[in-house]
Amino acid sequence: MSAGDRDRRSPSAAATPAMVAPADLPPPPREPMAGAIALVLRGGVMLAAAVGLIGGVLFLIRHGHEVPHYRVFRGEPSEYRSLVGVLGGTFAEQGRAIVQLAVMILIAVPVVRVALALFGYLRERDWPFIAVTLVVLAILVHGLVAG
Amino acid sequence: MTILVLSLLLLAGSFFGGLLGALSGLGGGVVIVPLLTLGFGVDIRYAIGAALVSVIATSSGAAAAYIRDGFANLRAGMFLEIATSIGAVVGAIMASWFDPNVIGAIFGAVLLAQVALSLKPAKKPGAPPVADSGAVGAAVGGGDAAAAVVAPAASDRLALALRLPSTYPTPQGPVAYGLVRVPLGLAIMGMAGALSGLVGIGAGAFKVLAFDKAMRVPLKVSTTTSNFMIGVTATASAGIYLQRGYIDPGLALPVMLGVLAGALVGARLLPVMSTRALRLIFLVVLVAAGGQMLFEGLTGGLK
Repeated sequence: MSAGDRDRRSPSAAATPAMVAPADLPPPPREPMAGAIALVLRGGVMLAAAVGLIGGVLFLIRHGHEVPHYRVFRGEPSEYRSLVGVLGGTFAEQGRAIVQLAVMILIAVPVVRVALALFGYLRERDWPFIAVTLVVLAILVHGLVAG
Repeated sequence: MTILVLSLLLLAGSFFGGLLGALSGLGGGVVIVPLLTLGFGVDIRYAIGAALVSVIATSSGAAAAYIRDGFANLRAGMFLEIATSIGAVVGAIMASWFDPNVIGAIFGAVLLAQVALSLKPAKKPGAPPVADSGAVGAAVGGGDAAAAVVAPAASDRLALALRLPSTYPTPQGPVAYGLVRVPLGLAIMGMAGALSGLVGIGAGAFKVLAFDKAMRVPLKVSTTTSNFMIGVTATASAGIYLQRGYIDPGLALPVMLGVLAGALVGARLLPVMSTRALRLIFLVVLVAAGGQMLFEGLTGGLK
């Protein structure tokens, strides 16, 4: 199957680019997962904000009256540096851990976005972009697990 | 000052930071680091961690709309994210080599450079200001006439091989465009990513520079695709910052919520109040913040 055949399968692709793309070039490829990616981006940010608000309120109820220490850098304790540590805290209903879980949800949003794009390119058998997306995903995952 | 008072002040300050970032077109990150370090006396490493989180939030929140409207070029964005994310990892690693004062000085210099980039005059004098985009790049460049668009067939070989040329919507219907000098674009993107990882900003102005000036992509596609890429770029370094313990939940949450709300309001206000005078005032504030960061960093004022 050629690239052009794949692109024409999508109704919106057949309608728009054919009018403007010069005859010597194939029509610009449609983004197969655009709708799902937009949904994940918006939904992920909303989920992170909601989880963060819950944790933030819990945290402030228990610790709102204390004095902060941000003038001196000490680094976060190890349980706030990994998903496993934060999940342990979340189940024990610690406000701070829930907030950090929200931060991790937010950091995961672009990773999921890239993974969705990879899925789309796999379905389209778009080999150059499968390679491109795998490289980006590998860099992101490396940053998350290796530090 | 208790944690409750600090959280509320951070929320309010970050709201104005997000507003200013959206209206100036430079994004929330450039305002958060000076706000936290100069305004609240927070260590710059915590400030960068919080700024990165807010950058991911605003980019992801705004990008959904750009995808729906068909402006962002997702293929070009994904391909160039190879450069920005490698750059971001390198920048985040470099950040641990330098003294906080050096990071602060670099931040100040980068902020001043971003403001200078956004002040570049429009290609045609008297062209209408670009009053379109959301969080990033609204003040960058100027009236970009359809005549300036590169024909898809004139794209360089790399762009054609990867099928990067695309179309974008205009009032006259979709317009096809090509990309030139993609290797140069990749190089600038790598540097933008390194700056992003080093000082915790989205570096949107540098990404727009790569799209608009190097690859000759239409401005609206440049600003939206660069915004789309910022989330992935910031995530590449945020994971490293998180594991180093630079991301504090008590700071990151009010900053993230405040910047997000400010950016949302700013994006709504942008088409209504696109006066150049207002933008100029914001740029003066940013120059003052950048100059102060540079000064504090050079004189060792940031612990």
